[in-house]
Amino acid sequence: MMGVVYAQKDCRLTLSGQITDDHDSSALSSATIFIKETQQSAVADKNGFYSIQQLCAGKYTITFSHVGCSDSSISLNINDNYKQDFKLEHHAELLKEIKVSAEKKSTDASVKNTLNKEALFKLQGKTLGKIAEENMGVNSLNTGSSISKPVIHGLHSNRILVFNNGVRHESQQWGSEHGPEIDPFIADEISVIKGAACVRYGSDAIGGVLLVDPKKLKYDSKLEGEVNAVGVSNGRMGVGSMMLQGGIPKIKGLAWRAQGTYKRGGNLNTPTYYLKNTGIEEYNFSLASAYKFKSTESEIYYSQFNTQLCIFSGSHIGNLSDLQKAFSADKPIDSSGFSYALGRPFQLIIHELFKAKFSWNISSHNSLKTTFARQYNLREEFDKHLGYGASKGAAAMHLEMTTQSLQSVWEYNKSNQLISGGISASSQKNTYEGKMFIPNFLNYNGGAFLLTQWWNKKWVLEAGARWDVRWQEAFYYKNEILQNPGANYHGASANIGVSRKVNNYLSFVMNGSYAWRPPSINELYSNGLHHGAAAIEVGDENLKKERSWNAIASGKYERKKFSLEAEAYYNFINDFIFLSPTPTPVLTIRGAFPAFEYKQCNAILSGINYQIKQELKSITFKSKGSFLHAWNRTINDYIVLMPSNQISASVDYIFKDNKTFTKTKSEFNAKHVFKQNNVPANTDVVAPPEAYTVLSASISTTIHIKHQPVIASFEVDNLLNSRYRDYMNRFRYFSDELGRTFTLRLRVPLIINQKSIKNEND
Amino acid sequence: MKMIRSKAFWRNTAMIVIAGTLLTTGCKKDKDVVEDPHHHDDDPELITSMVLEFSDTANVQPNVTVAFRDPDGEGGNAATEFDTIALAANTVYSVKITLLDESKNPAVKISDEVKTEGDEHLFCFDVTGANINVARTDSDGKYEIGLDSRWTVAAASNGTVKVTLKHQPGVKNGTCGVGDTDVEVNFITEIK
Repeated sequence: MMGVVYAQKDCRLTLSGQITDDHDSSALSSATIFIKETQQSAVADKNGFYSIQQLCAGKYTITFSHVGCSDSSISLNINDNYKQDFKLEHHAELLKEIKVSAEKKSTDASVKNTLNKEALFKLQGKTLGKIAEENMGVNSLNTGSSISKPVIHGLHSNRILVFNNGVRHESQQWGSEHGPEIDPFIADEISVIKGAACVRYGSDAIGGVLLVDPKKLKYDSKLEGEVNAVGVSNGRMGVGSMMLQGGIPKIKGLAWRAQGTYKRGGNLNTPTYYLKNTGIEEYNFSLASAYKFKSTESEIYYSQFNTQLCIFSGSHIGNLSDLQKAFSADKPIDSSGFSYALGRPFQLIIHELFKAKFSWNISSHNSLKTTFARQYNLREEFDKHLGYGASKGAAAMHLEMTTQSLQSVWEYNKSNQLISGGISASSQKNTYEGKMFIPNFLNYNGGAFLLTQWWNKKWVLEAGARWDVRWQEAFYYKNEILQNPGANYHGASANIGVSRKVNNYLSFVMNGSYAWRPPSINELYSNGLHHGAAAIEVGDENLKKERSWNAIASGKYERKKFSLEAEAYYNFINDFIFLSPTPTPVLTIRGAFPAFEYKQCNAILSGINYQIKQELKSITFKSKGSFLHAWNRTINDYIVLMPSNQISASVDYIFKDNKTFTKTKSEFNAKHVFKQNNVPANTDVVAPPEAYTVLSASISTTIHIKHQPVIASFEVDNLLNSRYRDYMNRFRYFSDELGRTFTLRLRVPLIINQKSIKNEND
Repeated sequence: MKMIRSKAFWRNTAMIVIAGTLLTTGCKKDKDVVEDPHHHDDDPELITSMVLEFSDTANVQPNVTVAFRDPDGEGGNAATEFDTIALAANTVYSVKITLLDESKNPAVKISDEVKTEGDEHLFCFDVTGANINVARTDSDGKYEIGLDSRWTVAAASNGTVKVTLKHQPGVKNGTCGVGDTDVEVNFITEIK
């Protein structure tokens, strides 16, 4: 079940980018680019853009020249498509000063969107789920404003996989109020692979995969870093993050990086009231080190995520009448002013990841990568009230999960073909203390895959298959008797993909896959009151695996000033596990609660997404939309909790650069979310909220203070301070969404290079 | 060359040693044993049962005991006992409420704690259809609690009495509108 990530090495790579003047960032048109090894050359267009195609993976010496600037050469290891921007210096001696920013592009036959570092900057301070939402076709499932889960094509939680630094993230993913425990500041880029990317990442990636990738470690031993700071008016939140990386001059081939983030916020406010107890404290850090010697590279990585996340106290309800009362109230009964106090209810979470990776380039065609990872996840949830009796004050839910995984991937490549195979194994244990929500369990997983790709100038064909097995055993008490149910699941999954480049502007990707996932632990064994939802949820030990046949097609038309990207998907899921309402409510000492059983049906999730862009001199118009239809074929009804259709439009204005300010851009955005009318009967105590439109505006720039650039942005969310509620936010029962919010973001790159300082002083 | 190789060897070894050390000492460990899950008796305490004891203040009518019992708590097995309140007409009863956690052995008397923390708790009685007037007779010093109450029963009639326990830490003001609901049982009520 464990996923596999690998880099490709092939001969259809493109090196492209923009060449600009390092001082004023003006485009250097007709600059020339020359690759020594292949004797290929290109001339940059009037905007400084260039592109060299049909490159094989390998190491190249690339020379850039332009009238007025001295030639600069750089040695580049290209093993993926690169977008390589170069800044040419007027000083010949500053060869080492060439700043390199690389953006990887997908080369395989999968439907993928990537947020690069620049895009991520504008989202700093937000949760990972909210950041991922920037990708076309991705929504988020929220619990208030601090907990957010990515939703890909209508699927979330156990139906999508999150890979943190190449390791499959393992935590209590089943809960809708459990966000991924990953510090977004670690990421250099965040990508979403849509459709079942099962062969590479795991058979249970039915909805898709979210990849959180840190920057690759650099071996040039130059000490450098970055400071990020975010201030948010709502919640008076501050976030600071710092990264340092370098080498040890005396030890060639050794690289390291240290990174840390601290976040602190208080009570959030909607347009008309504060939300009592919505503060947060979070601190995270990561350490990475790698050592390269000849054809081997070893890497170790450790990260820790810690948070105390307060849950809006008005959302804690005792029974159904409390819920209905909270919903019908214009303003939460439990109100407050601003405070940084962290009170009850809250979640206390620790997530730890340790990773060791060893790569060996056996020959120019063969490589072997082996990764070991250990993850520890602690989740404690504290109720609003201390409870009764001796256990007063203890966590209402206490879960600890430890996961260990080992995987080995072999890769063979030649000029137009790639073959990759891998095996993986993992073990996972989970324990609870206090009241049981989900039982103790043990999981053992094994998997093997084989994947091949073939390509020429116009086509990429991809086919792969994998086989997985899961052995699972649970332990819990029922009616005072120890229960020890076990379950085994195994099966094959497969994927085929085609990518076709019709001409320089038009390309298509089509992907078909068969994937499956075992029922998750809560779907099998949960039996009790889900407090947040005021519902009794009953698991079924006899659930079968869920199987998905997924087809996805994507087309892209891209000209210099105009681009259109659209995708359509059709996901047929057999034995889709869902909560089915039972005809009679369950009577408890707190009153009657609606009850739901986990059942299986045949479901079809289909939809289309688009994004379009048109440039007109300094103005750019953009629009994005997503439309989803989720249908339960077995009972001919809709499926609950699916994102509503939405469209957005924005206008960007790019200002002229000057000596102090470059890359200055203002953006105005309007997003309209339709009302979710496609909901099944009798599953929700309140109707979905109305449609809403929300406006935002921002301005971003790079300020040059002497030779120190500072990247800054200022953003206003919910510009009109509108009151609205969103169907995908569980807090729609209790409160409005956040009011007008101002966010200031700063990024200061630190280049601590004594030599260059000396040169500049000369 | 040999020199470099041995250096590399030592560095790789050092990485493995650092990795191993981090793994064995730095990483957090779960000390619980999977095969030995927590037993019910370790659970946080919950209210599983509510018992109402009625006694005629004039000592004429027989005492009545009415209960709601769901020993395994919310979900799981259904409630095992849900009595009807059957009272005699034209009688004044004094009523004592007992809350229990019967998922534990022996059962824990939660109502004692409700009494100790009287300033956070309030019982509310909603009578529909039946001719009963309920008045709380105990106090936390400032507001009533409702563990003890007086039920003035008039003419024969049928209806319901909803008994609610509100948990109102810091917000208790003598009304039923604030706080969360810890108990809510709607008893069918018959007056003969």
